[in-house]
Amino acid sequence: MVRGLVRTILLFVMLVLLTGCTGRASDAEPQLAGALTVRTPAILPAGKPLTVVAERLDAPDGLEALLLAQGSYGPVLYRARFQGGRAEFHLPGEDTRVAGLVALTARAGAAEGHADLTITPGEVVAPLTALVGPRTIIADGAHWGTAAVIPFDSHGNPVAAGTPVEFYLVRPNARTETISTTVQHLVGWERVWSATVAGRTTVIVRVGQAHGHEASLTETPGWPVRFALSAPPRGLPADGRQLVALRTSPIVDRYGNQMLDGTLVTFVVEAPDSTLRLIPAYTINGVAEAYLQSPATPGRLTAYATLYGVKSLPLRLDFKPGLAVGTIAVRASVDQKTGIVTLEAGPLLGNLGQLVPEGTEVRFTLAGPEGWTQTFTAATEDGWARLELWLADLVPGSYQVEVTVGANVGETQFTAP
Amino acid sequence: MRSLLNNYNPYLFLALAIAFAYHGALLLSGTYTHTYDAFVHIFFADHYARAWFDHWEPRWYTGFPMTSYPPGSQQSIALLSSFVGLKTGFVIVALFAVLNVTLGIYRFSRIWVSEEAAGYAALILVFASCIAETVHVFGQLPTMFSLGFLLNALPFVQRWLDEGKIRWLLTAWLLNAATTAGHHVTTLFGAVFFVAPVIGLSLVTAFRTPLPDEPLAHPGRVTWANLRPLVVRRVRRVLPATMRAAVYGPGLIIALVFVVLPYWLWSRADPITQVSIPHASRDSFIVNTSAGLVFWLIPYGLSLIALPYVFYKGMTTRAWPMTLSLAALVFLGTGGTTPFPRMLLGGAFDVLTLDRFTFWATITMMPLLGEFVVSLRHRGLARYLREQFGTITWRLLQVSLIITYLSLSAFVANLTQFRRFQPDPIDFQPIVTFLEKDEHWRWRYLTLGFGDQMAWLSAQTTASTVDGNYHSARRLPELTTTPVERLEGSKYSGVPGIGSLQQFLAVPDKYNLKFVFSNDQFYDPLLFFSGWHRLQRLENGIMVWEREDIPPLPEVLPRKEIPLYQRAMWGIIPLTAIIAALIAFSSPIWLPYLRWLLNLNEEGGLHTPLHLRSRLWGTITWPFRRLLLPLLGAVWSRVDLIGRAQRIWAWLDGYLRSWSALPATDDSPAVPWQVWLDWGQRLPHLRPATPTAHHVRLALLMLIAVTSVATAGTIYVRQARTPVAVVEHYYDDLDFRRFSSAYARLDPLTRPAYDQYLLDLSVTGGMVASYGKLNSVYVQVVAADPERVSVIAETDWVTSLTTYPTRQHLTLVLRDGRWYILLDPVDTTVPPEPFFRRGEIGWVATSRRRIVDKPTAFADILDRPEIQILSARLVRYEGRYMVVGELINSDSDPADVTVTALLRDPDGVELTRYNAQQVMMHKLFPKEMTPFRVDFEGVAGAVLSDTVDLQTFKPDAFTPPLLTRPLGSFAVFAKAVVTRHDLSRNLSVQNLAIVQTDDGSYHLRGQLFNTGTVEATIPHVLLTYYDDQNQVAWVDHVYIRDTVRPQRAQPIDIVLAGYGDVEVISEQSGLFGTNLVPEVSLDTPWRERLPLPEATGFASLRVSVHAFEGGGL
Repeated sequence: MVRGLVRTILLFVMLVLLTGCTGRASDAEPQLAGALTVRTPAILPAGKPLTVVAERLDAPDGLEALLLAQGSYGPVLYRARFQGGRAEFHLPGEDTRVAGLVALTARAGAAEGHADLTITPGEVVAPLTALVGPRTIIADGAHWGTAAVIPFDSHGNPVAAGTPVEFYLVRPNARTETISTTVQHLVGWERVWSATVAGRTTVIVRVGQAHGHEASLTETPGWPVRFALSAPPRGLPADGRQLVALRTSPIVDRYGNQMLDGTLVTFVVEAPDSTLRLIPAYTINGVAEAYLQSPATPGRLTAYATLYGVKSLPLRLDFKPGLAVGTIAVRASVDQKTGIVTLEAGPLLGNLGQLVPEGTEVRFTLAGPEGWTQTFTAATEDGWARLELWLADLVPGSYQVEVTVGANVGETQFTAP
Repeated sequence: MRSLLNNYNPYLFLALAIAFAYHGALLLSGTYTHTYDAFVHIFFADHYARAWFDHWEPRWYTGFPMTSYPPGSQQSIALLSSFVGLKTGFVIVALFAVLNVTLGIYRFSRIWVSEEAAGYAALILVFASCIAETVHVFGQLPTMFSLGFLLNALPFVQRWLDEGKIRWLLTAWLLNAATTAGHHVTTLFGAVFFVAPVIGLSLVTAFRTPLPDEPLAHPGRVTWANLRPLVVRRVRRVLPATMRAAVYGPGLIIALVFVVLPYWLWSRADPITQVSIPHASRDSFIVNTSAGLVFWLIPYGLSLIALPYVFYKGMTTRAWPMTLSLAALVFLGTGGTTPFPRMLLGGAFDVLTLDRFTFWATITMMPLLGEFVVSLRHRGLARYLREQFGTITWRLLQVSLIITYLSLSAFVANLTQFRRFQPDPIDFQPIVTFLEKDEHWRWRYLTLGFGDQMAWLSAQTTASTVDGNYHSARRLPELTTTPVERLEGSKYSGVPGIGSLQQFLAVPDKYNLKFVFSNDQFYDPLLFFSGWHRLQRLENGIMVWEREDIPPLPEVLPRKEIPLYQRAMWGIIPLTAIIAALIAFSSPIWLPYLRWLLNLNEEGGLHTPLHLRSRLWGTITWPFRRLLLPLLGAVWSRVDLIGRAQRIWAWLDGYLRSWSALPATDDSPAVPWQVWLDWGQRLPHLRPATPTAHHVRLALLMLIAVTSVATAGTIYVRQARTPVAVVEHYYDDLDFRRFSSAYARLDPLTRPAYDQYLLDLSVTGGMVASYGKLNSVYVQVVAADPERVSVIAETDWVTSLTTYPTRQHLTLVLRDGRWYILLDPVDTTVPPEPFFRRGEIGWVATSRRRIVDKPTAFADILDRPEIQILSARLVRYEGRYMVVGELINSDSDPADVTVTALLRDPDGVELTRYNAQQVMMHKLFPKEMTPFRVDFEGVAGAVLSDTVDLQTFKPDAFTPPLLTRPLGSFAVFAKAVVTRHDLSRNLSVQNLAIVQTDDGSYHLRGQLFNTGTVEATIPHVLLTYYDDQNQVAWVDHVYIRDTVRPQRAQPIDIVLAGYGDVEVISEQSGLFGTNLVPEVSLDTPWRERLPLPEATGFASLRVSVHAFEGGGL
């Protein structure tokens, strides 16, 4: 065991010694100091191969030179050897695709030289992407959107400032316009003012011989101008049931553009008793239509429609009596055996002698002893309204019954035992 | 194998075989899919299957640490899932747990009762209702998983204490470690309720057992002279067991701490701030009888009739330490029935689920239940029954008990089939496909009405949800400060529940919450009026709701890191502990074979001429024999710990032995200390009854049983036939859609035909009829005749938006001895047009590109519609801060609008922000206006919990924000995207009038009339009050209870607000819409406003109406 330990220590000592016994330093490369001359074109089209030359007449042949190219995407290092005082660095086209300024630094030994190279973008290539925003503006000649494009060359470089750009506009009325501008700060853009015809304006962009997909700008109607209302010309019975269609005239803005489908219009209907009706509707082909249920009592209704605060011309609608025309017959029967009082009103007739609509509300108002009053409602069925009361709920005495249907009234009385 | 069979109890093998067949079949049939917890453990297992060593699970609660729950059972599933899938993996692990518990209960019983009773205990356990409930109703896998290890550890603990072999100690520790790996709480409480009685038994046994070298003399009386020897004698007896217990205890604590160390570190660094979540096991079982049934009656089941015997037998035998433990568990398991458990447990009472104590009580009962069976079969009980009631009664009783026990087990195991605790199983594939489609996983989702199945959905997708099913881990204040178990079932959690859900739905952008999968239409109104819209109904019937304009999740989500060593520990140690425990536990099976295999004795075991075994053994052990063993031997011989310890012990024992010597004359018979046994012996014994008496007693027993059943039935039927009960049952039938039963309670002479009745019901929709849940019904008789009764029924309906109290006058008539309800007439109006047509607009947003799987291109994104905020004010109403205002969609496209308001202090620092939720119309037509009201809210329930009964459901309750600095200003932001959803305005208002009632209040009365072609299921009326400057002064809203069918009207009567109730706080604000220049002037003379009486304080009123149309999609 001791022997093994001694061997291990010896081995370790030898390793330490071997580590210290490094070889003698090799002979130094020929030293060069001072400046190098770097020859390169000042401007290079993107993607073209390039040869950069570093010159120094006293440079020994075989001396290694380095070239550091620092561009937008970071440094790239090239190596070459001097031969006859020249070192040539060949930059392939793949390394010159990115446009912009490239700082070139050549170094050999302690000697160093600098030069700048500007890589310019190539020709604009398709497809161009035309952008328009906002995509919806009001067609009133006062609102505007922006059409823009960022043209690129085949290597993905934005094109040079000053590159001419042309936007072609096709308005909704088929009128065409051309807007010319130039690329500034990578972007070619221009305002697109609205015209006065609503619809779709197509925007096409062209830069040189490059084309792109179309973009679109929707020009929408502006504020509406005053419009009118109409209703079917017929005698309207106040039966509390039938629907009357109210319709606006085509709603347009001041340039005659119809409101787009789905624009909300509110119909406001005022009754003689100052009650109000609000009926929402929306435009289809510029016209909004709302349905008004006829009132249960005759009289004149006044209708308006409002859109965006703009009010239509008023429309007056006259409703003639339509419910329980004539006398209302009312009967009361008291059945002590079953303990039930039955009140019946009917037959209730309409303006043409027909039975009133099913479910017409009939109000029974009972006035009993000691000022007791209570109102019950019943719905008509086959022209009759029936109400059953429980005698146990009524105080003994005489009761006056008033039946109201629409604007008409009928009466009867009974005695609760 | 034969030796094994001979050595072990045949009942045990029978029990294991039956457990395998019975519970295996149930599990394979899918009972676990209806349980509460099974899918949660499967979800956790899915996490480990996906990323074993990753401690962070981002799919729930915006992320939580997996170190918050012991991973043993779940990692076991994950390990198996690679071969058999997650679900089958769960079944295998659950079945293993059941078998392990069965074996454990046998071994545990052997400590306390006879071999025969232990076998019966194993058989009883297989069919125990507590096991059936825990496995097949609750799905509590970790509880079962760890219990098996705990029970199996106890005999090793006892053997270590009695014999002192290090092997038993190591096995016990390993099994304790496995217990902790499965469920740390089982180890924690198991140490008190299971281990402590075993230690107590060993100490008592040692205390009472004379040592071999102990003098036999025993004094009859304790005197000063013999006191010290007697004490020392007993100290000498118990000292070894006590020292072993002292060795075992720290090891148990180390096992508890070390195995799940990351858990303890997590709980210390990130303590649970979750407020107590109500659990029915803490209720009074007398008040909440359902809780008593589930958490007390079912777990005990038939064993309750044996409970007196269990305590009698336990306290009169060596099992008394365990019986004391049982008594404590039974006591704690009563929950809130008495105040004592709360007093005893203190703050832990509100954290623990007390049904666990009942479960452990049923487990500790098992050995004595085994004794009960033995006694019933051929000992005391059998003798008593045969002598007093005859053999027939005795046999009948046995058969009845067996049949009842088995039936109860089968019933409980299938309870989820009879009474569904979970929604019907959902096919999740369409949802998973939806989440994967169009990168929908980039947003969070929420499920509603999925029950515990939501965990199974989570296990199948990488998309995340703001909800989850493991409340201990959540960290969002909106959840930790509320007692909501899950958002998805928030309707069951009262105010905080629906309050939390409302907050998530009101400000979904805060949580990147974009999709809601709804399986419960109860939430539909809340979703709709919070600005969500229905996107599509999936093939599985689940409705997908979407909220527009929600930012996607960031690429990198925040996560809470833990050190690498903790992650490694979590991934390695728990499962290693389980495997090591299984190896050690099964050592009696494999160790003899291993010993035989490794036996160096050439004459024993396997022998070949080539000496293969000795060569192999020699090769393997060579490094140890040559290097390690000599070194260790040298150290060991130097230290000689055992030798020193033995010498110290011999020295101490010698002293103790000498001190315990008694005078030879001081001897007398031992005095029994369990004096109550003597008292029992002195009780007079009954004489055997005659055969005639047997028959009479049997007949009497039968008569009592039949009479009891008949009486109970009669009372039940009579109670169900009173007028009040008829009305109550009628509403109950309507609530649960038992229409035929409801129809049967209507007067047969006047009721319509059944088909007509169904037809009438079908057209009666609305918030209450379609989306409401009956909360209570109170019936009061107001007039009564012998054959006619008039009642007033006051019902309280709950919806996700608000509660609706109703009051209805009903008349009942008596026909043929039964009360029937006279049905009120239904709406008989007829629509004006037989066939109505109306033009509608359709919108669709399509890209102009071809269909690709890339996200939406920039060129296809539509402009945001221009929204102009016309006015806004910060007001205070009933102590709440609100921003009211009005905006218009001045664009040509329909808009889905989101309004956000901010409150700032005088320095401009933001205090709080909130979105307008229900009090606005989110979907606007072009040129449509809407009022808005932002009701600033704090965290739901944070304040309410102090003042409001959490069990009371009040969906419209409000939680004010906590503002720490004074208010300075406010700002309103409105943004919108183009929408095509829920754009209909079919409701008009007619005959609108402002009416002053007798009490002086002003009402808005009129009718809603549906001019459209679709039913307006829940109409929503928005009221905008203006001052004389045309500024919005107040905004209010009302939901109309009943549906408005096409071309039909519905009356409305709304109480108007008073100006004095609204206090203007600030009118100076920043209003930020999406318009560059204002398009609409405030001075526009709006025609559609109603002038208001001067007394109201307001100048005019605008009424806006929209509706939720439930029939869509």
